[in-house]
Amino acid sequence: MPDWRADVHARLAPLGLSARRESDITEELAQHLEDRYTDLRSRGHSEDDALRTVRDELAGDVLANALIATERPATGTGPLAGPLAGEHVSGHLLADLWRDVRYGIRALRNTPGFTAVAGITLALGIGATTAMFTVLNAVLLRPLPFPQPAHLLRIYQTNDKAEGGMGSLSMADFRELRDDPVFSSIATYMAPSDGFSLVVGNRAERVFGTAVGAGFFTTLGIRPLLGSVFRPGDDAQGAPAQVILSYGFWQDRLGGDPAIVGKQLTIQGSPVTVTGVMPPNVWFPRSEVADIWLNDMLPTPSRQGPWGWQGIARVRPDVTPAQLQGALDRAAERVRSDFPGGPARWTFVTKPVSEQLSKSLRPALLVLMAAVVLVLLIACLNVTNLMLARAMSREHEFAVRTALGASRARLIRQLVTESLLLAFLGGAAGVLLAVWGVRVLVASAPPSLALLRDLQVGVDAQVLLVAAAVSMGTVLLFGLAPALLGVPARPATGIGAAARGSTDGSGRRHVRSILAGAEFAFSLVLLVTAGLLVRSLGKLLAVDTGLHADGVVTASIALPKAHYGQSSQILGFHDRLLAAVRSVPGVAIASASVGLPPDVGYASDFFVTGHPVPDFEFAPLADVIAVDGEYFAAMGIPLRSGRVFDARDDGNGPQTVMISTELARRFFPHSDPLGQRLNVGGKGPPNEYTIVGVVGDVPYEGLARGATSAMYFPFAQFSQGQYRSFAVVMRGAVPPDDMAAALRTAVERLDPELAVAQVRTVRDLMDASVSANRFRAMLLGLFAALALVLAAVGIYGVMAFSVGRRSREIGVRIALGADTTQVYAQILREGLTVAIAGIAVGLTVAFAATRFMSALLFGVSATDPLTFAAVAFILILIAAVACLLPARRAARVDPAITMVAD
Amino acid sequence: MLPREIKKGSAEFLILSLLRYEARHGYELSKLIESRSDGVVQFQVSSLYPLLYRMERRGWIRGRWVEKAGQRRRRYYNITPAGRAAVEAQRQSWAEFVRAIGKIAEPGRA
Repeated sequence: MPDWRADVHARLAPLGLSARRESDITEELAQHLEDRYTDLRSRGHSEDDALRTVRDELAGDVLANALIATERPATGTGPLAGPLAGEHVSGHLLADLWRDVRYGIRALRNTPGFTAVAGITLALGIGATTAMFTVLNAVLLRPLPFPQPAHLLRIYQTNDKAEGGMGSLSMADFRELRDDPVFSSIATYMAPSDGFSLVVGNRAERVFGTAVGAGFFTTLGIRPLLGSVFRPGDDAQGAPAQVILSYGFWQDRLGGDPAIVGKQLTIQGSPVTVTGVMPPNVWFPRSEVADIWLNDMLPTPSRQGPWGWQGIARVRPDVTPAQLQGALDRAAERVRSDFPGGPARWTFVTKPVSEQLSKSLRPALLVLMAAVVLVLLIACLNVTNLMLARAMSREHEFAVRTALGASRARLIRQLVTESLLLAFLGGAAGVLLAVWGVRVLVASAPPSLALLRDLQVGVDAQVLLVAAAVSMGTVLLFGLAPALLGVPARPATGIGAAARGSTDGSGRRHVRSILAGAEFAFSLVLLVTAGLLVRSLGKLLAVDTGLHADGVVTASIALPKAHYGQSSQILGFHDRLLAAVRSVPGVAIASASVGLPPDVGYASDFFVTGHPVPDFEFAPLADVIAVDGEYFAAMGIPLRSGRVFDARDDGNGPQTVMISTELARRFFPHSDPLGQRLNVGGKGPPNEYTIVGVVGDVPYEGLARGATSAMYFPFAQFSQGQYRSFAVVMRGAVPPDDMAAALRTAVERLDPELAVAQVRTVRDLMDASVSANRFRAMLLGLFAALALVLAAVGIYGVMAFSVGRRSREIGVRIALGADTTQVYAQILREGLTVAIAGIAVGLTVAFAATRFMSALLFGVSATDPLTFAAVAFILILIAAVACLLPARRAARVDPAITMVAD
Repeated sequence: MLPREIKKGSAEFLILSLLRYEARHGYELSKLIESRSDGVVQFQVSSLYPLLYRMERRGWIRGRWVEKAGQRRRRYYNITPAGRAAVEAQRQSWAEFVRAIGKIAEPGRA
């Protein structure tokens, strides 16, 4: 007699009935089959025949299908009510897909917590990636908004010592380059940091523009909106003064006057004719100096220097790099033969304009992009983990559906559809997040990153395509593994496990642990990166500026040559202005300076008298600052020896100079510099200055460069008293705004056509020099924090789920006498093993990876042990907390409850 | 064998009718249905029991394990008052239905 119970049991198993009900039905049905078999045998059927007949009658899914309806009517709204099994597959791809989607939506809606967490996680990952890619695309990948940008080159002077890198051009250089046939067009430009004074009506203001050679716009390939660009010859000495206006300037300051071309504006005190108006969004060379473009009247060189012009050229498309470099070398040779005796080993080099524009952003952008990709990976791992957990808690559903004839492939397709829906959800939210994020990012970018604004960074179709691709890619990352692992290959195992609710399939638990560990590894890399940047920023901010910046306000003044042609006029204005400002209550000290930290802008070559520079060698360089004697007290720069400038150092007195401690240390290591002389201007005609004082170091070339060699010249002697642009430096006990107002009043009284511009505190100036560092440290810190939260959620999820699944086992252990400490210890041990393994891998990866960001670091090694250790410690701490919460729940497990739960 | 649709609608009616006067177990029911319909209606195990359980859930019949001396215990089904009401209602609607069909199908009236 066959055992019919086994046959019946196999068909009932997928239903997950209660044990009692299952046994009742099994007994009843087995009896029926037995009766039927006996009946058939007694009617003369052979044993085989009877067996086959009875089994046929039991076969098919009819029994289980029908029983689902009768035994589980309450699940009518649950997942079981959907397209249950393979027999419903219509064979129409679209119809099936639509049913999968509908079912997927219902399944996601049934678990709103899971859907929200997974959706938000994905949105954050995809959003951050899309936002960063938007910026990267605009700055590094998208061509510049000029025709054939690849042929647009910057030209520099360089020497083979690579000392000082690449320098600007002199007129001697430009004269030899301009007619070379390798260039279809070439021009110089120079943007004075103090701008131009402009009178509109009777109001004076400062505008920031660029003095450009005649070929500037032709080289860029930009056509004007109104009028014309400069023509050849417009940059010759004696050419009429002309100006081309930016669209914004024309609209905002001149009301968009359509008949503006041919009219005259008063710039620097002289009439200048408007030649043209540019279309919107022309910002070259930088938006800060793109209000107007004036025709630069280029002088005829009498010596090899001075330098200071930027060179830009459009190379002919058929010129090879070798031909180009040959032409540049020959031009350098011609300059050397024009002005013999100068340095020998130098030449010209070219760099694509696009590369030079993005040069300062490239390393930070690449690091940030890598960071967001890590964030995305962590997000994917998290969602994978969530999906796995969900798939495991649904194994009962899958088991039933498999038993009902749904193929494994069918169930995997269902899970992948759900992943796709999630990715779509996350991707859509991520793009919204990215649109908003890019806006915030660009708006909060410091002035030193103005290129982000100039390039009009924004989410466009290309970025959307990438976002879509990323979203689909994440499905492959987080959707397939859970689908393959979560769908049981054999239904019976799934049903058994689900019925007992006791074990966590050990293979899948392994996978989940590995995923959580990987999250920790990625997080560690991110945190180390962020940590190094934050430490760099801290070191930068801790650099001794050598001055007391509090309560110091600076503003710039530019005197027009038309009214201030004589040095006596300039110096007279200087004296009257400072006297007026000093008389304002609350202003303690007022002084004038040409050049301010942290970006002084001028340098000169020099040598110590008696120690001339050998032929064909480069003379040393020092920063040049022209000041009056009050400057040092105003800035709080200490006098180390000698004296500061006073009335003796006027235009008629002997030429004097003060030097920085660094210059004294480097050039007078064993002697007293006071009374010694410096020959300034390198190999030019003798031009000697006697050292009268040594003052403390100030980082004139930025905080990152630290102390530099600096030479201070008396304001009255600098440039023969012919320097018309200077900064007023005031120290006082009143708020900065009050001091600025006092200065404006004083200037207006002295000359109503003058404008005060660039009012800033010295602290602002210093802060601005580290704003880019601060910005990227902040961004990376944000991404790292995001990664940390995701990783913590990840390990918490793994531990909480694992503990939940094993509450019965833990209950048994507690019933058998294990105390709570042991339960805690076990859970912690399991969680921390995963975390520490991940951290160890992360440390190795970070150790190898951080060296690529050394260009962004200051004062911190790329493998700074403190940062590495601190990050590892923080992560272990977080892992411990994430494990402790489920552990506490486990320790509270009441064995009586868990063991009778079934 | 009857077409599926007819069988489905009539199955409950058949079972309730068979239980009207005495309690019976599942195999007995299937044998009776087969023999009384001359083999036209056949209930196999996979459709009979889900049907019985559904009827039980509706409160039309009630199953009980009964042990008789010298026999294995068997599950016997009794009709409940609700089941009697249902079979009465169904009997009337069936009678009406059959009458209506008869009129339509009567030769000469088509």
